[in-house]
Amino acid sequence: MMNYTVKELRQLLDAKKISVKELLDGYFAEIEKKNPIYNAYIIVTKEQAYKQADYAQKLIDDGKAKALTGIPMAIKDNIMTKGILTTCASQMLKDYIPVFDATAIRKLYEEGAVIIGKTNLDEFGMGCQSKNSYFGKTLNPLNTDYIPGGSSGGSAAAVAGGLAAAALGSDTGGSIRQPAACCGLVGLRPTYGRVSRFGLAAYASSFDQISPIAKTAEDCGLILNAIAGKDALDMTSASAPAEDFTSAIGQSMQGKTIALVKEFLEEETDEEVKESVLAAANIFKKMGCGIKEVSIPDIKYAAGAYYIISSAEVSSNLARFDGIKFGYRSEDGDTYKENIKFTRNQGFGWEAKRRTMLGLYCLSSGNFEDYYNKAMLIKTKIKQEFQKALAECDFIISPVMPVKVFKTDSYDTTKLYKKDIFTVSAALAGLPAISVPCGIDSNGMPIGLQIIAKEFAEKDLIAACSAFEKQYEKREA
Amino acid sequence: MEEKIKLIQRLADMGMLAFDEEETSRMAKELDEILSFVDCIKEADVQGVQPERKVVNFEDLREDIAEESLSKEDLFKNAFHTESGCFVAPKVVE
Repeated sequence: MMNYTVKELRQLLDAKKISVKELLDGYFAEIEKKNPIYNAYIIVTKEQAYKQADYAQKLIDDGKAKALTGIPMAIKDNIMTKGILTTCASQMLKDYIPVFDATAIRKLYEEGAVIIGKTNLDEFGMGCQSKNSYFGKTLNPLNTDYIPGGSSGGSAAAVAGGLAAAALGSDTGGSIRQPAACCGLVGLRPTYGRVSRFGLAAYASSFDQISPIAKTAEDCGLILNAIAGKDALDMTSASAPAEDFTSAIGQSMQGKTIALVKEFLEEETDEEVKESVLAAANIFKKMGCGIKEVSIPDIKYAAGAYYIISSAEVSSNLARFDGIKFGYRSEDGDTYKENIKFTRNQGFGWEAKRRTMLGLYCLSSGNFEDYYNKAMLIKTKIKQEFQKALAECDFIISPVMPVKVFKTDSYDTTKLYKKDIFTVSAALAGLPAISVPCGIDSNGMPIGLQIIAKEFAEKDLIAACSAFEKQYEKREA
Repeated sequence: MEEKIKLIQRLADMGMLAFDEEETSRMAKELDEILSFVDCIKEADVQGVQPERKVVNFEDLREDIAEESLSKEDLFKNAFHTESGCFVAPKVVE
């Protein structure tokens, strides 16, 4: 039961082969058994879940079920849930209980989805190993020696470990796509603005997007159907019309053009990763797609530009935490300023502080032009390069990461930042991108393929990803 | 090194962070490493590129409608210290 997709669970629930309560019993039993090992959840919301289950069951019994009605979902703990602890994996918010729901959460409730817990992450979303957490690190259910990816590693581990049917995470520079790749799942970063950010704790506001992670592209589409749309509470949410993002699934890929990012072949990409991505291109070719190469010449500056811009936004976004109106407060420091300084120094983890410092450095006078402004111009240039490339093809493919899934702390900081090159470039360009398994490496861990589409072309992206999934599974079988 | 330590102290003060000596020197070393990584952007040629900053469409604003806001009780729920309907902060006057 724990391996069913959202779509399969929908059929079982609608056919009354299982009740929502039975489904929850199953998931909570698994969570009890396995969460102590994986540490996927920070908090499990059993009581609330059974209450939601009653509502969901009624919708099903009345024949009013929607795609996610009664589906047990995990939520990354940087998304506000009214009355339910929301910590951002930070000591700063270890006791924080929001008094409002994020728009995406409100929409999930409206669908009758059941929230079963809040998942672990790198503090505020800053990290790629799900280990920068006040609540300890999360392990990869496929092999606990390896990282689950980050920052949405708790959401990925919950789905991969059979502790949730699907999950919400967030993606700033790859935080949904990398965990999906590490745990053999599908993770979709929507176009910037597609999903309201209201109620998503801000890390780097100009990149943050709430994102689904699930077992299939279709499941991601079903979740996106529920959470997408313009929201008066988020000025950056886009007014692109609502559509059924799963409606193009099953259409032929004949005649579509897939482009390989030339630079990934030149970058220091692991040989096994390279082979798998080239094999993926071959799968598309067999489906009747044209294959070509495109160049994003400035991609080599993507990670540098991303870390400058995102850290600048961190230094601003984390400035609100002073321990006065909410959050942790230190007992140290006699004066207002001293107390706030101790509060922040004790409340934030090291990575959050390091990025605050980098951001302040890049924004300070004397450095602003050379760092922040320059990075913003590179962002624009990379966006233009992607637009030009996408004018000549339907989709661009690359690895999710140029390295294989690794064990915690296998790389130093700059290597960790550098391996974000392919995921941050789609984020800089504001484009939708999906991560899907495309191979197994010599350690038995999955390799992720990234497919990037044109702005607001999630429907086509999900269809292409779904077509790939089916062919890839056939090959594996 | 002394100059770098001073820089970290100045930035930490701006960021309202109370580093001890050990954290200060660790941060100096690590910020240096990160800067040498992001410094690669200095080579990028951005001549003729116009900055693009607009992410918000100001022509597309919502109606200004008065509605009920959060209750005072809700707003105080997560505060460390409140008294007589006020947030209690440490002494501001030194």
